[in-house]
Amino acid sequence: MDCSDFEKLAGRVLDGEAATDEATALEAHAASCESCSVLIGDLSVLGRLHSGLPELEPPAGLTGRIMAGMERFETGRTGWRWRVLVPAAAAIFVLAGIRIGTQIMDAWFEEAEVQHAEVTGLEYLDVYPPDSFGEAIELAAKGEDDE
Amino acid sequence: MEDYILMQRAKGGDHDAFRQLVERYQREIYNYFIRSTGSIEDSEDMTQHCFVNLYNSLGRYRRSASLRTFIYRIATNLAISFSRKRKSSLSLDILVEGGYDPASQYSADRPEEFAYARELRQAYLASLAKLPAEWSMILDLRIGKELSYKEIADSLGRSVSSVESILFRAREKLSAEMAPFLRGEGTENAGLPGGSRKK
Repeated sequence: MDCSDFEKLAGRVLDGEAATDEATALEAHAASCESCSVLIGDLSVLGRLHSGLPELEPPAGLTGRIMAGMERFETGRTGWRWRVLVPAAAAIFVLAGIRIGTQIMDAWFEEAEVQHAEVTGLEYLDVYPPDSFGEAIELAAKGEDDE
Repeated sequence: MEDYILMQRAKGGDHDAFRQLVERYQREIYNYFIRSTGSIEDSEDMTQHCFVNLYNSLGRYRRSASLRTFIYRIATNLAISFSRKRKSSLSLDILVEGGYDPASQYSADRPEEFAYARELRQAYLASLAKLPAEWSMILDLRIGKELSYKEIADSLGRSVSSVESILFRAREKLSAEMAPFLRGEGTENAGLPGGSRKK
């Protein structure tokens, strides 16, 4: 093992992630190499400094606030359904209303057109039905010729 | 009661089961955020977010992963997102005080040693705050929370080798930053315990 291998392996050994033979090789190298011995010492001190950092107590009432937040979230999730379903139902109701209204209006206009036809009358059609129009012109032309 | 059973009950709408999980993990998650944000207020907010996100993710939890790993995954995502939005540099000054064992070598009757320990910690926290956010989180998950490389990799969605590589670089940077203090050169208390080995 050289110093570069030692550096790479040192962390794994300190973290308990190295195999037994790797840890043994590391120890053997540290015993014969002063700079690597200092390095492993430094890394141990850093580890102790980190694990010795204080743990702070969470503020009183944090559990209650978390639970309240969770319940708000749950209500929000249910509320979300209502917020979508109610407008969707309203939209369906309005669209159905428009559809029914349109059908009623169509029927009403249809009836009104018939009444309108009856009122204004198209009596000339009785005298000159569409298929007799050409005949009428012919008769008229003939009359002119006779004159 | 086992985490998985509590999770199953919580999934079925049992609020009390979820409360038990909150009580079990909130302290360590809160402290994880303290070390990631350096702020008590932000850590409290993020702890709340973390557990609400956990509640929202109950359906996605599988027994194959430990719940602790699953929670740290949520917490790490929040912490990384927070660190990206942070405008000022990280300060961990709130951790300078506290946690000193009065029965240790830094006892009150040896104030110089206590001052040295305090100074060393201050320097360490300053060096830690300079690391990229994810590096210091990984370091804390390993040393502070004692998660294995595999658990850290699962928490972060990374490979084990990338976790190992980050830990190596983080330690390398920390030891370079801390070298003057570890050798007693950067302190007013050079030669005191901790520094004596390096003289």
